[in-house]
Amino acid sequence: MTYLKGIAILAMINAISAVGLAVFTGFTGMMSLGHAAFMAVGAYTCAIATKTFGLPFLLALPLAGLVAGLSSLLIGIPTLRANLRSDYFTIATLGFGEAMRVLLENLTITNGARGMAGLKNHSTFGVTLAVLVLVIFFAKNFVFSRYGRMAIAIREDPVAAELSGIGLFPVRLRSMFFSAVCAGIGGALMAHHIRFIQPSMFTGVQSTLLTATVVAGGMGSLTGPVLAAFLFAFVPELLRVADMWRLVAYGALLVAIIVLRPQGLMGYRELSLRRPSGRRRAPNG
Amino acid sequence: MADFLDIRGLTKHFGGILAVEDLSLSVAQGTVLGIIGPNGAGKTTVFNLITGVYPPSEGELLLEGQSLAGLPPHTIVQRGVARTFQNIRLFRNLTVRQNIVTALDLRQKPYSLAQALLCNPPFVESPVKAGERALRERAMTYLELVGIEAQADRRADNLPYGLQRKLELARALALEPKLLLLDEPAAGMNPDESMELCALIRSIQRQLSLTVLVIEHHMDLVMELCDRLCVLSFGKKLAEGTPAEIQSDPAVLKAYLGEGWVRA
Ligand SMILES: Nc1ncnc2c1ncn2[C@@H]1O[C@H](COP(=O)(O)OP(=O)(O)OP(=O)(O)O)[C@@H](O)[C@H]1O
Ligand SMILES: [Mg+2]
Repeated sequence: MTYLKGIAILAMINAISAVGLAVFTGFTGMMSLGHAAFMAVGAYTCAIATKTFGLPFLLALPLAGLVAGLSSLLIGIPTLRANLRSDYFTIATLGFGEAMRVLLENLTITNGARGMAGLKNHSTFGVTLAVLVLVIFFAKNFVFSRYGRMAIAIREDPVAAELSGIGLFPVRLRSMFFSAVCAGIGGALMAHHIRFIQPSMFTGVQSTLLTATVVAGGMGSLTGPVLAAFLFAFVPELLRVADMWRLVAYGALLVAIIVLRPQGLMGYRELSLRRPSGRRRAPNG
Repeated sequence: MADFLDIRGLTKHFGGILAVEDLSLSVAQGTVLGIIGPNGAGKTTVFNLITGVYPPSEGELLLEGQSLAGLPPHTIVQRGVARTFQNIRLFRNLTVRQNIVTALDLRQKPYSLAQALLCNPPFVESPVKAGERALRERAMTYLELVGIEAQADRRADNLPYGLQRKLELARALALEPKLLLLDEPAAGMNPDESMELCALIRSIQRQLSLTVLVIEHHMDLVMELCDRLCVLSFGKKLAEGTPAEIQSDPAVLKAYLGEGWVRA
């Protein structure tokens, strides 16, 4: 039971980060390979706040989100203002992710490559679930609003969006900030779940997995990436594969989804209690 | 007095290609100007320059005396310019209605970001839900204007081609422009459909007292719709005048209309 609970907590943590990234990738159309950096910023902010400064966890958690959000401005403002071609932007995020990891490895306050151990276990099942519900609530309110609609318009056609009076830079930056806050909160929860963090936990592999979760879940969907986060957490466990084979299982699962459902599990749709087929059109309709 | 739209010495080159060269043009408020010319003449480039898709290499663009040159597209749209595209650019995964709602956002801002995030619990009435409802209703008036209200809930890319063009027109109108640019609105339509579109554009133009620039290859439509014509060839203005004048201009006949062209 505690074993299953542990996996569920991990799945929810990934879902929190994935929902945030879904807003940026699935709804705004921007591909990132550096979001693990924001998880790292959140994880370290929270760990340092609680361990070094003795802040209560429930204060440190939003702080982690905020600092992660602010850190996204560092990379977001120059790259998004320059309106880089999308592939160049993605490479810039990759570079940012690596730079952040190297920075964490070399700072004293983060204890360098050895990382920080002995963190308290604050990410209980209840806390994580509550945060996930809140994050989905905010994400849903965001994408169902005119602010989400502006983002969707840019994803659909940046030129037509601009010529409908939508400025690309502020909308993309807003989505990036939102996704970074979510990733930061996810990272903070992760730190207080595993109770140990080090820079090597937040590599390009973690970023890629996060983006894969969103793509597999489906562009333009919030519930799809949540579903995918759970699949990616549980399926390798069910197969009881370990270490290296776990990554193979991830890969196989991802390939299977892309081949069988190119639009992702829930492309442009949401799971809905009201209509079981998920035929609800909003926020795209 | 300065004209409504004043283009002075407009030039654009892409590397070695001179797409538009030293173009000067004045358009009076409430008139329809047709831009015609052979393929590659630089017609679409003129639209791209007016709407800020590219900055001009040289020259000035004045709308009601204010310069547009160098402004980003979304600012130019706020100044009252809207357009359609030669290769249709809709928000394809959205419904017809949401395409319009997206454009309505420019003038109607019914709620703030904080309200959207914090004051919109599920199943409960909120400023966000009320605002969205109002936008959806308002969108219908634009769909009715071009006669595609029956398609409101279809996905934009499921519409037949001709209706997609009408949706693009409706979306441009939803921006409440003063100056409307139409890039080949009748492309792919048969003569009947294009004459029907012509009547529609005319009636909307009068109703909203719009100034319209239209690029079109359907000569019947151009002659019928436009108050004045500007003929481009290799980026340069070849002739300008009323449709009757253009029809009898020997240089134009030679370069574009072809020798034996007569009005249908
Ligand atoms: N972004 C660009 N980069 C390079 N060259 C361009 C670009 N846009 C247009 N051109 C060139 O500028 C010239 C004018 O093109 P433009 O699209 O304005 O022609 P047009 O009159 O609209 O033609 P058509 O009737 O085929 O639509 C062409 O030679 C075209 O290849
Ligand atoms: Mg053209």
